[in-house]
Amino acid sequence: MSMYNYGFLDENTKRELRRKTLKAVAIPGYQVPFGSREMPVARGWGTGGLQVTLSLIGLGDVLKVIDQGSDDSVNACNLRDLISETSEVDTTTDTLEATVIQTRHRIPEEKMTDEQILVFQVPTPEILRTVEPSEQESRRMHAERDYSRLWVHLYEDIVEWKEIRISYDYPVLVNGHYICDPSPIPRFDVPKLHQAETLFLFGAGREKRIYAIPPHTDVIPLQFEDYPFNVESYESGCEKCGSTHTYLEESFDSNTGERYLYCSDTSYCGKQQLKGQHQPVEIGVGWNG
Amino acid sequence: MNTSILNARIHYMQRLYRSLLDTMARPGSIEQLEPYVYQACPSEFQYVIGIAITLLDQEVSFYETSISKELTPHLQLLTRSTTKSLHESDYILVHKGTAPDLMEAKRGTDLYPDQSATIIIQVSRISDDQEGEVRLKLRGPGIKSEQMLSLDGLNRELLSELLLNSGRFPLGLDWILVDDEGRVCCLPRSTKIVEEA
Repeated sequence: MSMYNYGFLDENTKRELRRKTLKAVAIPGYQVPFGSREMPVARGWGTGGLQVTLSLIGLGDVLKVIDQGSDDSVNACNLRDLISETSEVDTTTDTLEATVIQTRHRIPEEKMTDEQILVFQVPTPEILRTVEPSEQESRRMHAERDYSRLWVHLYEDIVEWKEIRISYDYPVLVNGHYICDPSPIPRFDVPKLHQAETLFLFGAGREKRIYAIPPHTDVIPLQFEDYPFNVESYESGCEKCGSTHTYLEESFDSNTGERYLYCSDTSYCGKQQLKGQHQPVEIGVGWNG
Repeated sequence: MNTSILNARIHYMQRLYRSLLDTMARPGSIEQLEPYVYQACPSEFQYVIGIAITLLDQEVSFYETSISKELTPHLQLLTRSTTKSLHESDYILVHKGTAPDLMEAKRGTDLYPDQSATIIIQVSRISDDQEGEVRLKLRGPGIKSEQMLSLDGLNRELLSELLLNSGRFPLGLDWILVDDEGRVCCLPRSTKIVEEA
């Protein structure tokens, strides 16, 4: 790939991304504007995460790319090919082997370490957008920490449905200061962000924002005393590997109409299946243990 | 410039950035930089120049605190970055032994706290032992409970500025400290710093 610069992006673009990412890490939860570039995938298909990844990846890194927990989806495969070909890094599907993981909407089931970086693709970084359409006004609300309308939004859910019905993009308070969008990860993954070992970087290409949650940072989902935050639970385990402690996705058999649950993290599910067959496999600990 | 030299520089900047990112994400942790070999400058600046070529370009400005401004022409040549006054600059290079009035440096606004200066400061020695002239106890994001940091060669006035830095969060300065041996340590505005007696 010698017709491209190393890591696809030109060095000036990388420098800007690096400056903005350092500022984002210094101000946890604050969205730093950046000049998002045209990428060889359409905006909204992971260009923010892609640019963040390309700005930091180097020789010796091992890359994993997932899309909703899956290493095999078209989007994940294409992004992985693009990054690995232009930055000459090895790729893996094993969470334990990766040094950089780019993800769309999931955090892997195996706990990540301080040697790893998780890069999120973010479609709509502004958590206040559901209650305030104006960028100018939502920026003022963040500056003044005027989050009352977001609280009312949660309260209205309780009045109408007796529960907070936000299933993804769940608002979190970072470092006791800014409320931010943890990207469309399910509620199941939100507690993993709290006091983690790993650096979390968020890139929103279409909306031109970068933000970060450093390791060992308080990340508290918004909740009420009498309506505490809770995560998804399931009546049964994964159909393939039997796991009852993972995030599951629903799937229907179009002929019989039967409903099945499968692990969303395909790499983890594969490992569990090997373990079930008594084959040698290394499985990392969960985020709680 | 031939391709292999250009590529060597690209990989050098990537490694240096990852070191900065790691220590910015874990304030008080210390990373080792590689020197940037540039014959025209004295070797005491080889790490500062490395940081400068990684972060500076024509879109940002810098200010050098020494009277002679001996790095300025070299950095202009290497990075095409422009110089501005202390209170307008995006990057402030603080030489050892100088004490600029960092009160004037820009700290961002409530709407745009990221539009603030980054301080790149030379000290004699950075370590995690208890031997330094200045011993700091750090708390905040990126730090599990607390972290100790020991510094030599940091001027008292700059130290008092550093101790006050987290008080106006999210406004503030982000510090990149680099020592004679190329050890680097970042102290972002989110870090609460107390001096140990």
